[in-house]
Formats: sequence, structure tokens, C-alpha cells
Amino acid sequence: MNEAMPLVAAALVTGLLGSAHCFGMCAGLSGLFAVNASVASLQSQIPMAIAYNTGRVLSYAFLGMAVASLGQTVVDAIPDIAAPVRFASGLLIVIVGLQVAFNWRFLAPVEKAGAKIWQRIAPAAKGLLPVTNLPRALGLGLLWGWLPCGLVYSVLLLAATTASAVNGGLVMLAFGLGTSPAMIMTGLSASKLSQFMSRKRRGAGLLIIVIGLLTLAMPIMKFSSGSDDATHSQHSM
Amino acid sequence: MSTGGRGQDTGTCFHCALPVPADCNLNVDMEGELRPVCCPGCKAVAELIRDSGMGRYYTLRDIPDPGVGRPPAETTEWQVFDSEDMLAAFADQSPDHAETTIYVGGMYCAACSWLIETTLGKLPGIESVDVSPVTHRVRVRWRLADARYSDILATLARLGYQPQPLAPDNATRPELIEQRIALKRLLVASLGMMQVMMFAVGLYAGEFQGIDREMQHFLRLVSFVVTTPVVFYSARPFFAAAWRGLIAKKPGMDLPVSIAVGSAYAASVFATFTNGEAVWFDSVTMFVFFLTLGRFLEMRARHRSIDRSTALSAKLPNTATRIEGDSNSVVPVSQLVAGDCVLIRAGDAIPADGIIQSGSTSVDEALLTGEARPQLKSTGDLIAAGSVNLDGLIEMRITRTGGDTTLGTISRLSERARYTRPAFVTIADRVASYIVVALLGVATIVAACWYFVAPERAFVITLSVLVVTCPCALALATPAAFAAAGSRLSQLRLLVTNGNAIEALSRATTVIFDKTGTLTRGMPEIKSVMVLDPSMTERDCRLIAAALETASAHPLARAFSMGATLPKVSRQHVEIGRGVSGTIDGRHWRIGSARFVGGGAANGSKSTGPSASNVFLAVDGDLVAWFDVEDELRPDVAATLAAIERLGLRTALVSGDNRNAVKDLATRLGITDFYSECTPKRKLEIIEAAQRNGERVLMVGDGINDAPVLAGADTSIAPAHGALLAQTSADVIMLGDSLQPVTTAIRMSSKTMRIVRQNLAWAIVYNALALPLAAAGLVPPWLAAIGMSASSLIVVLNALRLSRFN
Repeated sequence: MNEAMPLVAAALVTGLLGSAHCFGMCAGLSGLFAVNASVASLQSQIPMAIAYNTGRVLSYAFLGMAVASLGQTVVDAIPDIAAPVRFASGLLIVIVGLQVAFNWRFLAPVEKAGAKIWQRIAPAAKGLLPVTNLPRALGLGLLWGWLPCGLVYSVLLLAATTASAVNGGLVMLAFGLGTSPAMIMTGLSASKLSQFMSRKRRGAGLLIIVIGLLTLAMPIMKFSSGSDDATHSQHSM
Repeated sequence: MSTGGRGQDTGTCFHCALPVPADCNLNVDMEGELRPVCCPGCKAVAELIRDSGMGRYYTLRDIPDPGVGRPPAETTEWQVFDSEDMLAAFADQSPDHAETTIYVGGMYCAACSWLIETTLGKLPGIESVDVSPVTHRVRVRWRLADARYSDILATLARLGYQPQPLAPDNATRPELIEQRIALKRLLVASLGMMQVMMFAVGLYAGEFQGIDREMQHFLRLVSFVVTTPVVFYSARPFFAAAWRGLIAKKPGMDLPVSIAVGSAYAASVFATFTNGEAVWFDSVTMFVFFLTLGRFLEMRARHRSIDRSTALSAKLPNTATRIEGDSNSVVPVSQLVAGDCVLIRAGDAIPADGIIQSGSTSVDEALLTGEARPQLKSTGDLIAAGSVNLDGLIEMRITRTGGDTTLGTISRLSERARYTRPAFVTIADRVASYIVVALLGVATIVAACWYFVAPERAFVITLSVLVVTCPCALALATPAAFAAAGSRLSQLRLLVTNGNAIEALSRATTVIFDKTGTLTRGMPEIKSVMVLDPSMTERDCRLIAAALETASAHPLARAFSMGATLPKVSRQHVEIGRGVSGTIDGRHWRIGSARFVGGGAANGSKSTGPSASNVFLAVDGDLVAWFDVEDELRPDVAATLAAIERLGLRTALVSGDNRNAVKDLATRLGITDFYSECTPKRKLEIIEAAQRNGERVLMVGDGINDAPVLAGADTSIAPAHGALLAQTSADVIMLGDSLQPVTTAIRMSSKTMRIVRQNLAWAIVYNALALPLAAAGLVPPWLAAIGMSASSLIVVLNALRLSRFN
């Protein structure tokens, strides 16, 4: 639990300050709600947006648990891999930070693969449009979590390195929650927020990189202080 | 989303409008056209939208075909704004850049803000576009070399919106900046709190399960890093206020807050670097977050009332077409002066107060009077700035501009209330100040006691005491409720111009109404003229009456005004509330009440109905004519009076009119207590008599010629009479034709005071309970932070209930 905290923190910041790109997509979507509800008042949009985001975050959490279980299987199967994996997750956070700061796309190929999965899901999503009621919004959110997106994939990788279903779920939950304020507030001030984000992109990236470096420093600190690394890590998971 | 400055050559994503990376070859087929997208995600969404038959979304987002909606605005109309003067007036300029706020009428949903952002962002030279769909404002920043102001405005107009540049000295600016900074502080505090809470969970779990020192040290170190900006950025206003209070020797509630935050932070930093027992970073961030949140919510409530008054000024157009001899020219409204003639097209807002010179039309005066039905206006009629010309083309001669207009006056009056600090709030502040001092004393005693009993716990417990007993709720209790009430009242078309009005209204026991212009509409007309002197015609009498009455400000005098050339009056003398005398062609004329005129006028007096008055005209002591002047009753007088009686208040009627007219009206309305033929002095005596009886008097009257009467009452409400609004000294002004707002104001005020009392009671009970618990060491700092915030949040939320009052 303790050890996953920096990862959860990194995921939250990534979600919160993620990338202008996500906000572009989100703002579009909530505009879609608005177009459909012909007399869309802000008040009526907010519950919809909340339902939709709940769905999306649940999807992320589910995906996080799934990949982290996979990670756990791998870690359990290979005896001495726990420490390198933790090192890898620190490195991954740094990479995510770089991605946010410079709008790089390390995972473009994976996005293409993800697009294939999405093609299976799209018909179901189509059935939920137009979004007219709360269950539909929730359903659309659940499916939306599967949209091909490089940022989601990189945080998923991070979740996998926790090698624990609970922690993996937590990481993705934090990421999803981080992305939510902007989505829910789209009608209110997302444009402002998104501009704020894109202006602060570098800063956000840097913040994530710092968390990554700290995560990397942890095993090194332990190692150099000579404490019994293996027993503690098992203990706290 | 902010696409400015990136140029179009790289291509922007059809869905999310961000640049498409060079190595990306994705397209989406929209109605046979291949549109570039930036990633598989956008492609997927765009296809989904297309396939579910929602393609319309993109057209809604994009520039509509010219010809759809409003006809394209004339670009020439906007070019005025490119001049140096206009730029200086409407934009903040740096050597290369300009930035301005534009009010965009016709903006309805998120898609609109999307549309505006993308379209403006694509114009060359635009650096940033910031759309706020809620306030209907767009903030644009552009390079002076590459873009023109008029392009931006014309583009908005072409999209079918109604752009209105807002001047930077507009009242919204300081609030916007204040709000933006507060939001940033809140953002930093919330982000920091979430992070530190997570680390804290780790640390607490570690205390139970065992944690190795490196891990503990690491988590503390990270918490330290995250807490630092929260303390030094988010909490800065508290430190600053505490310091100001100390210097002024008036310790406010920010002092214990600052001591708590500062000492907890310092102790935690010390513990972090010396491997001490415990750190309180979580409590610090949580405390700062909740405090900032409380302040933010309170500020929002305060600003909402301002939003309304700026909505008033937003209704003015920026340019007007001035008629200059044979030609017309478009000039900024700020350059118009009284006497100018302007041309107003259908659909335009009226730029200033004035009189119609030619043409007739119907205007929408909803903004000023609350009257939703269009009002017919033709040559000679007054029209007010801020109303909208609905159909005809009219020529108007300007009588008043800018701050002198009715609209400007209304805005100024509502400002006035904001700057008068209710006595109640001042008292609450002073009490809070004593409490702060007492609290610091108690905290010191608690610290000393615990130091002898259990020194290791002394610090934490003192911290909790300081935090949990913060008198924030006490200090917020009253202003939060007053702010919410003021904002709601202005929505209900009641302008509070005096901060003390709400409290005074809530204590009123007696409502005294003026008759003319208050129970009646204040738009008197001459119904009939009875001429007694055979040598004179009706027209002669009217001319003389009109000439004499020019000197009078009495509401009835308005009935006599005529467009014709009037005879010259010398030695004109007004006796307020009674009549006017003067000399015309060597003869001495008197016009006014029967008693004033004399000459047997009292015998000729007769009543023609409850809302009619007789005005008599005499020359050299002989009665010449009398006029039946009728002023229609306001539509809901009877219902309002009944409602006030049901609230348990006594009603009375005072009037300068003759006894019969007043008695008729009083009988019809069921008022048993009425006084006729009152001079302002007599009215004041009536009020003072009531006050000697222990009654608290609400005077409802226009106060135009009897300002001392309004001032003598405990509080006052005046109906807004367009032209004379600026002179009013009333505490509350009601807009519109109905009398019903009087009841609303009374009900709202007692509800507000009820909420204030609830809030104060709650704050006191909370502090009385929390203090012993914290002093006994039963409240950990984090719980103290939650308790304190919950108590002030409850106060703010309770106050916000007023904003739904009906």
C-alpha cells in the first residue's frame, strides 16, 4: 500500500494536468450532450457529466486491476523481478512526465492496436447516442474508457508495475478521478482550465517527472542504507 | 483548444482542433470529405458521432453559412474600434499585444464556446481565446501587427452572436482578477491536500503496521515539498491579513489561523529534518484547503450580486449612429453628449436617455422596469438607455448620457449598498476580534497546563485548540447571509442601496404609504377641466397651469406639462405639498390644493374617484378653474396591502391630497389609518408620533419632494420613477410597476435575519462545544481542521438558501 502511493500520486497528477489533447476530446463530448438536450441547461448537464465520468473512471479502474493482476502473475512467476519492476515504474512515471511536457507519443503503435479493440465496442457506444438519460450517460462512460488513448495506456503500464490488483485499480482510479474535474466542468470553465493546462503543460510534466525521480530514488535510498529490502516490500504489499 | 498562433499549415484535428502531428496520417470521412484527425482516439470519436447520426454537431460547431441566422453585421460598424482611442478605452495594451474582454450575446451552450474558441483561434495574430459560457464573456489576446480588433468583432458577429466590447475599467475586472487568483490558490491547496493526504494515509498505516525509517522519512520529505507551496502561496492571504490586523492592533480571525498554520508547518519541517516524532503536513494542507474553500464560496456569493449590475451596463451598445447635418457617422457611445441626435435601428439597444424626435416604435424596457410587454413609444416620448428598440426606425435627441442615465443611476445605487457596511456586520467583526484575543489567551493557558501534565502532547493539543475554535463561522455568519440576500433581492427587482436596510426592514412594525406615485403609478393625466371664468378658454387655463407647474416637482405637476410655448411667470414660488404661486402679466395666480388657493375653492371640491385629485387655479383670490387629475392605481395595491397586514404589520396612508380623495382610497383599500392634506412636515410628525409609540416605521414613498420623510422613517422603500431616480434617498428601490416587491422585501428581510441568527447560534454552539473537547486533548489536528471547515461551510450553505427565496 505504502509503496504504491507515489504511483497513485503520479497518476492523479497525470490525470489532472494530463494533456491538452484529452481536454479537447472531452470538451467535444460534453458539447455533444449539450447539442442533444435541445434546451440543455447547465444544471441538467452536470448530473449527466457526473454519470458519464463515473462510468469512465470505473472502466479505467477495471482495466487497471486487470493489467495489475497480469503484472502480479509475472512478478510471482519470476523470483527476483520485484525490485527491477519497482525501478521500472519510477522510470515509467518519468516517461509519462516527458510525454505530458512535450506532447510526445511513445505509444502511438499501441493506440493503433487499441483502435482495433474499439471497433468491437463502437457499435454498442453508437446505440447509446444520443445521450438522453443518466443510465445512458453511465453506459457511454463505461465504454468510453476503452477509447484508444496513449496517455491511458502509459498509465495502465504504470498500474501493471504495481503487480497488485488493488493498487493497479487505485492507480487507474486516481488517474480517472484526476481527469474528471475538467470533464465535469466543461460547461462551466473547461475552456479556461484547458488553456491553463496547456500553458502549464511543461510544469505539469516536470511535476510528474519529479515524482518519478523520487520513486526511483526510493529503492536506491533503501539499497544504500542497507536495510532488508525484500522482506519489507513483501510486508507492505 | 487554444489554437492561437500555431497556424493552419500543419493542419488541425477535425475533432479536437489541436495540431495534427507530422507523422500522423489519420483521416475521417465526413460526408464524403476526408478530414484530418490527430490520433486514433479522435478518429474513433468522430466516427462514432458521424455513425450515430450526430454529424450536425460539427456543423453547429463550425461557421454557419452566411445568411443563416442574423444578417452579417456591417464590418464598417466595427472599424470604429480600430482607432487608437477605442483601443485605449477597451483593451489592455502592451507594445505588441492587446487584450480585451468581449461580452457575447446569444451564447447558449458549450458548443457555442467551442465554436467561438476554434473560430477566433484560427484568425491570424490571435494569441489566446478564453471563453466563459456562464458569464458570456470572451477574453482575447492578439498581436497588434497581425490582427485588428474589428476583425475579431466582425467574426463574432458573422457567427451570429452579438459582440459587445467591455471596457477594462468595467466593474467586473477587479472581481474577475480576484476570482482568478482565488481559484488558483484553491487549486494549489486542493492538489496539495490530495497528495499530502495520500502520503499521510501511508504514514498512519505505517504507524500501525510498522514502517521502515527510510520510507517514513521519504514520505515526510515529499509531504514537505508538496505542503510548502500550499503554505506560502495558498495561505498567503491569511498571513497577510493577520499581519495587517496586528499592525492595526485589531487582531482578526486570521491571526489564530496563521499561528496554527505557521507553527504546525514549522514544527513539521523541523520534525522532518530531525527525524522527530510526528509531522502535521496533512492537517496543515487540509486546514488551508478548507479555509480557502470557505473564503472562495463566500466570495462567489458576494460577486453574484455584482454580476447583475454589470449585466446592466452590458446592455449598452458601444457605438451609435449620430446624425450630423445631412450625413451620419458611427461614433463610440462615450463620445455622445446631451443634445446629439442619434438614429436607432430596430433591434438596437438605446445608447442614452433621450426623447424621440421622429418615428414610432415599441421598446423593451424589461431591464429597467421588469415589464416584459413591449411599450409603444412615439415622437415626444422619453426612452431610457438600456432598453431595446424592437421594431421601428427612430431618431432620438439625447438628454442624458453615461452615469446620468437611469441605467447608470441604478448601477450606481446598487454600488452604494456594497460600500456601506451594515452596522450588524461591524458589531460581529468586533465581537470576533474580542473572541480572537480570548482564544489566544485560552490557547496559551491550555498549552501551559498540558506542558506540566504531558509536555509531549502540549503542542498538538494547542494546535487543535487554535484550529478548531477559529471563529470563521462567527465572522462569516452575517456577511454571507447579507450578500446572498442582496443578490437575491436584486433578482427580484429590489435594489438595496443601504447596507443597513435589511436589518431595519426586518424590524419594521408599521408601513406608511405615500399615495401619489406610490400607490398610484405616478403618471397623472388631466381627466377634465371645469372652467368657472367665462372670459377664459380651457386652453388658456391649461397654459397658465402648465407655466406655473414648471417649478413644481410634485408628481401631479407632471400632468400639466405641455409642448406649447408657455406664458412667462415671474415671482414664482413653490410651497411644497401645497401648490405654486406666481405672477403672469401683472396678475397673481395660485395653483394647488383648495386650502392653498382659497377663494372658495374648498366648496367646489368634489371627489371623482379614489385615485383622482382636484387641483385648483385662482387669480387674485378668485377661483378660475379646477382640474380633475387622475393617476391610475398600481395593479396589485389591494393584494399587497392585504399581504402586509397578514404579516402582522400595521398600515397607514399619508397624502397631500384633499380629504375626500384620500378617504375614498383608504376605504376602498381597507386602510383605517389615513392622513390627508399633509405637508412633508406633517408627514414627518406622523412618523415621529408612531416612533414615540415604539413602532418602527417603514415609509414607502417616492421621496422626491419629501426626502426628510424617508430619512425620518426607520427605513424606506421608493418606487423607481425613471427621471427622478438619482435624487432618491430611499434604502431600497423597487423597479417596475408592481407594489408587491414591498411584501417581498419585508419577508426576505425577516428570513435573512432568521438565517443570520441561526448562523450565529450555530457558530457559538460549535465553538462552545469544540473548545473543551480540543482542550481536553480529544481532537486530533486533522479532525480539528475538518470540524472548523464544516462549521463555516454550514454557515455559508445556510446563507445560500436565501438565493432560492421566492
